[in-house]
Amino acid sequence: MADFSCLVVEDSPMMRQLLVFALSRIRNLRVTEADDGVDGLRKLAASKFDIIITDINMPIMDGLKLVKRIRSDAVHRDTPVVIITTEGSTEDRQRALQLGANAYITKPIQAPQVISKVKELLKIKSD
Amino acid sequence: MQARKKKDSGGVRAVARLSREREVFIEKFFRKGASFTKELLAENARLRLRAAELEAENHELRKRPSSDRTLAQVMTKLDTLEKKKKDLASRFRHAAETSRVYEERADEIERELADLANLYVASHQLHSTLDVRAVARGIRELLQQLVGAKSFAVYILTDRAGELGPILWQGVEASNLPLIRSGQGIVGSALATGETFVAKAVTGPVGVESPLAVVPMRVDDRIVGVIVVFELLEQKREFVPVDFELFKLLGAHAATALVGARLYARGSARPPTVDEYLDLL
Repeated sequence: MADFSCLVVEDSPMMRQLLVFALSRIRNLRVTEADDGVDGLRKLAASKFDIIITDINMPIMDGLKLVKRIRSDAVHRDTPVVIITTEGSTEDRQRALQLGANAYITKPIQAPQVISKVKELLKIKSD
Repeated sequence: MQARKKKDSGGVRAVARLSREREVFIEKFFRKGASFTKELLAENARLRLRAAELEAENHELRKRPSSDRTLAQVMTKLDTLEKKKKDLASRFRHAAETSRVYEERADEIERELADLANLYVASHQLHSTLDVRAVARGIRELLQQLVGAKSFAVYILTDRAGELGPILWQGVEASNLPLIRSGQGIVGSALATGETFVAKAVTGPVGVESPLAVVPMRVDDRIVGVIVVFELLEQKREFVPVDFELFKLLGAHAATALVGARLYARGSARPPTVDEYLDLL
């Protein structure tokens, strides 16, 4: 039985695979995958998650729009959101944080960094 | 008669005087007796107190080591305890050091696992399809998202021997990607020698003249193209160890995946049957 649940919204199957691998290192964390922002909203309508990780640059609905929608949703507005993107500039980081993202990770992602950030936001003690 | 009366009167006075002197004496005697009794009582109380003090002192002395032998035993015990304390402190330091080493090793293993995951995902990305576009997209994603390359190009041999031409690129204009002869510049040298080139930093304008890395791509022992990285993403300052492993993987698998997908598309675009395999085995 999983103690925590995580939604990964990422259009690249390769990045999803890497994120799922990284998150599998966290005990009792169930991961659900979504292909883009719209698919992410669909998954959010069906379940409540403890944390959401989303890419910024995605077709159909990008990560920033998704964060906006999440923050205006009564059910999910308090769910921690981690943004993942190739953009490394301070402006992009601030934009994401202003929209309500809790943390920002730039690509290429490092699994230990993802694990540490998710644990921090879920208040999971390190093993 | 008168003389007798005079004699009687003198006697009476003497008796009276003696009586007074006796009373004074008795009074003084009792007063001194009372004072002496008081002193005796006070002395008695003082002696009782002193006796109690000596009793208590004696009791304390009884509790103390009664001989040199006992003292020696106590000192020996003290030495033993001191040694145990030092031993425990040493073991604690050793345990703390061991724990630190294990923590470092655990971190290292986590990093190695993450690197292996990157390589696994990269390999999966290249070989999970026989569609040329999907393979090309896979190579692009690998370079951009795993290596952190901002601008790059993939060159393949043209129909003319020893000449390379670009088939996919990112972050650089196609007009800046000329055909390259074997041995020409850094890119051409990588094709000629088959050796991977990695620069410590970008030394000139973005282009084939000053690449950051050139990775020859092989099919079996034959070099059929090169991957050229021009720039890294802003947040990625330099190549890290896993990048060199990714370069090895790309060098060995990217061309195989591309060639396999191209041949599959050119052929019947269906998986070969058992007879078709047996003909070749």
